[in-house]
Amino acid sequence: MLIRGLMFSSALAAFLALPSLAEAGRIIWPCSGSVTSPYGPRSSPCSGCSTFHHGIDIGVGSGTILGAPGNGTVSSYAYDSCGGNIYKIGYGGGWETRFLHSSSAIVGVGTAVSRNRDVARSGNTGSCTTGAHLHFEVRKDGVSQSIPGLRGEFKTRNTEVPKDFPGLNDPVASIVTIDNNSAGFSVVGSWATATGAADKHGADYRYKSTAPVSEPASWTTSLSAGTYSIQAWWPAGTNRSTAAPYILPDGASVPVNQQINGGKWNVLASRSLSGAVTTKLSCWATSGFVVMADAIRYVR
Amino acid sequence: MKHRRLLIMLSAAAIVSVVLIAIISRQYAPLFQEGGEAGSKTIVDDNKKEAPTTRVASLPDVSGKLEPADQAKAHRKKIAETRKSANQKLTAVMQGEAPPLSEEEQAAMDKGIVDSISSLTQQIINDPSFAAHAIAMLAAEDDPEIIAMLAQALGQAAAELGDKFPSDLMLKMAQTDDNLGRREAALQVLSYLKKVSPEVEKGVIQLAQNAATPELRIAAINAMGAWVTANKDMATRITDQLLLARTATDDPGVRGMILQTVGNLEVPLTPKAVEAMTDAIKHESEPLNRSLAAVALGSGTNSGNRDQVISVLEQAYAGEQNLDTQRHILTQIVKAGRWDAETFLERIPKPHPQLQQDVEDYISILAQVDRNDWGAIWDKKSEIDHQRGTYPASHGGHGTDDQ
Repeated sequence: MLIRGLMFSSALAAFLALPSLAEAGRIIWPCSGSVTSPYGPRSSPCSGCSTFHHGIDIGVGSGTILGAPGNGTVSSYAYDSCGGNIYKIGYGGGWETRFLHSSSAIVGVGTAVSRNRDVARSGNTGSCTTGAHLHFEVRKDGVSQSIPGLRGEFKTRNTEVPKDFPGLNDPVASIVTIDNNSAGFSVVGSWATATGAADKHGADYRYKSTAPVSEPASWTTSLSAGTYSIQAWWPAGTNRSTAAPYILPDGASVPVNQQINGGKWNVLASRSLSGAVTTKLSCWATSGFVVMADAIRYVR
Repeated sequence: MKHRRLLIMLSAAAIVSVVLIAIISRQYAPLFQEGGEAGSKTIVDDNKKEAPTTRVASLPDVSGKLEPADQAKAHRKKIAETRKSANQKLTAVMQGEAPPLSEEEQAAMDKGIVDSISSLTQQIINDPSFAAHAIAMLAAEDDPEIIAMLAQALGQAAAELGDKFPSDLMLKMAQTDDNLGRREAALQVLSYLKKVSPEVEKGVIQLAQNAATPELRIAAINAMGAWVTANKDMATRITDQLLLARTATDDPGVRGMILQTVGNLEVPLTPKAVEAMTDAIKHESEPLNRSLAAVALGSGTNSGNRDQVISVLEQAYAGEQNLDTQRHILTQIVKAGRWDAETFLERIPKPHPQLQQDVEDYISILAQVDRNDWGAIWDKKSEIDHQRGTYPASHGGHGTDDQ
C-alpha cells in the first residue's frame, strides 16, 4: 500500500506541470550522450586539430536534435573549413554558445530562442572531426570558458551544466513597442496626423513644426527591471529636423537627424529601467523644420 | 500465578522490542556516522593530503522515520532507472546495435530523467525537512551520474528554500566526505544559494584556497562566483578571496577558473584586483589564462580605473607573442575604451595582418552601433569573423593557440 501510494505520488507529480526552476546563469546540456573529449589541454586528435580543446565533445549520432543551452538569439550559422557548420547563439554582453560540425539548422539566424528549444542538428561537417559528435563551446568576448565534464560521463539534455555562467539564461528578450496610436502615446499642443510617408510605423504618424516651446510628444509604458535599448522609428524626409531632440526617461537629450535613417529602428541609448518610463520628443529645435513622432520601443 | 504470567509477557515484549530495534538499526546503519561521536569530525587538513575516512558527520537520525527515507529511496530508484534506460538505449544506438531513436523517443527519454529530478526538487521545496533525507541519499551515492542529478535537485531546492535549506550539512559533505564526486556535488549545491551564512562562506573559501585537489578548488571557486551573480554586495570581498586563491596555487586550471570568475563578476575592479589582473596578463604561463585576464580587465572597467586598465592592456598587447591572445586583448581595449576607441586602435602596432583587419572591423562597427551596448559590438565582430572564418582561437583550425 505504501509502495502504491509512492507510485501514485510520483505519477501525479510527473503529470502535473512542475514549475520552472531555471536559474539565471544556469545553462543546460544541449543533447544526451557521453563526453568523448573534455574541455582543456589534449593531444591533437586529428590533422589540424589543436592541442587545447576549447569546448566539450559529446558523442551523438548525426542528425541528433540539439537544444538551446539558454535564452538567447541565434546569431550566426556559417561554414568553417575546420569546424564545419557552426551554429552560434548570442546572449548579449559578449556571451555566446557554439555548436560545431552541425548538419543543419532548425531555427534560423535572428530568431530569439528559449532554453531547450530545438535549434539545430548535430553532424560531422568540417575537416577537424573524426566522427559524428557535438562540439559544444561557451565563450565570452571570444574567449572560451571551461565546461565541466570528464570523459565517459553521460550528460542528459535539459539537465543543468554544473557551472555558473552569469549572463546566460537571462529572461528571454522582451520588446515593448509604443506606436503613436497606442494608449501610452500623448501630445501637448497641436500635432498633426499624416499617413503619406511610405516608411512610417503602423498606420500613421504625428508631426509638428519646430518652435521654441515645450510641447512634446510622449511615449509612456511600464517595464520590469532590466537594461533596455531605447529605440525610435521615424519616417525620414528632407524637411525633417536634423537635430530632433528625444528626451530619455532620465532626462538626457538625444538629438537625431530625422532626414535620414527612416523606416527602421534607431538606437537612442541603453538604460537601466524599471516601472513607469516615458520617452519624449520635443519640438524645441531650429525653426523651419518638422519633428516626426511615430514609434518608440524598449528592447531588453 | 497471575503476576508470574504478567512477568513472562512483559519479558517477551521486551525481547521482541530489542530484536526489532536491532534489525532497524542494522538496516539504517549507513545513515549513521561510522564510529566516533556525532559532530566530532573536524575539517580535514587538506594540506596533509589525507582522505577523510568517515562519511558526513551529524546527519539526522532517521531511524524512526521510515516513510521519508523510503520516499528518498523511491526518488533515487526512479532517477537511476530512467538514467540507466537512457544510457542503454543510446549506447546501443552508438554501437550500431539498435536503430536511432525517433525524435519522440529521445524527447520522452530526456523528459523522464528531467522529471525525476524535478519531482525530487519539488518534494524538498514542499517539505524542507525532507532535504535531510535527500542529502543522506546523496551521501550514500557512488554513481557519478546520479550524484550529478541529485546535486541539481538539491541545488534548485536550496535556491528556493534559502535559510530553510540545511546548507551546514552540505558544507560538511564538501569538507569531509571520502568521495571527491560527492564533495564537488556538495559545492555545486551550495553554489545555488542566494544568501550565504558566514560559516558556509568561510568554509567554501577555505576549500577554494586550501583543498588538496584542483577539482575541489574549482568547484569552490564556482560557488563563490555564483554567489556574486545572485548577490553583487558580495563582489568585493569574494574578489579579494579569489585573488588570494590565485596566489595559493600553481595549477593553471585553477588559476584559469579564478580569472574566468573574476571576469564574469561584471563589477568594477578594485585597485587590488587591477593589480592582480595586471600581473596575470603579463605572467600567466598559459595563453588562455592571459586572455581571461584581459577579459577580466575589460569587464571590470569603470571611469575610475579606465585609464589604468587601458594602459595595462596596451602594454600587454605590445608584449604578447600569442596571436589569439593579442586579438583578445585588442577586443578588451575596444571594450574598455570604446567611447574613444579609435584613438587607441589607430596608435597600437599591428604586426600581423589579422590584427590590422580586427582594427578595421572595430572602427567600422563602432561607427554603426550604440557604443553603450557592448553586446551589439561583439555580436557584430563575432559575426564578421564567423563569416570570414577568422574567429579567434577557433576549434583546431587556426592553431595559434598552440604557441
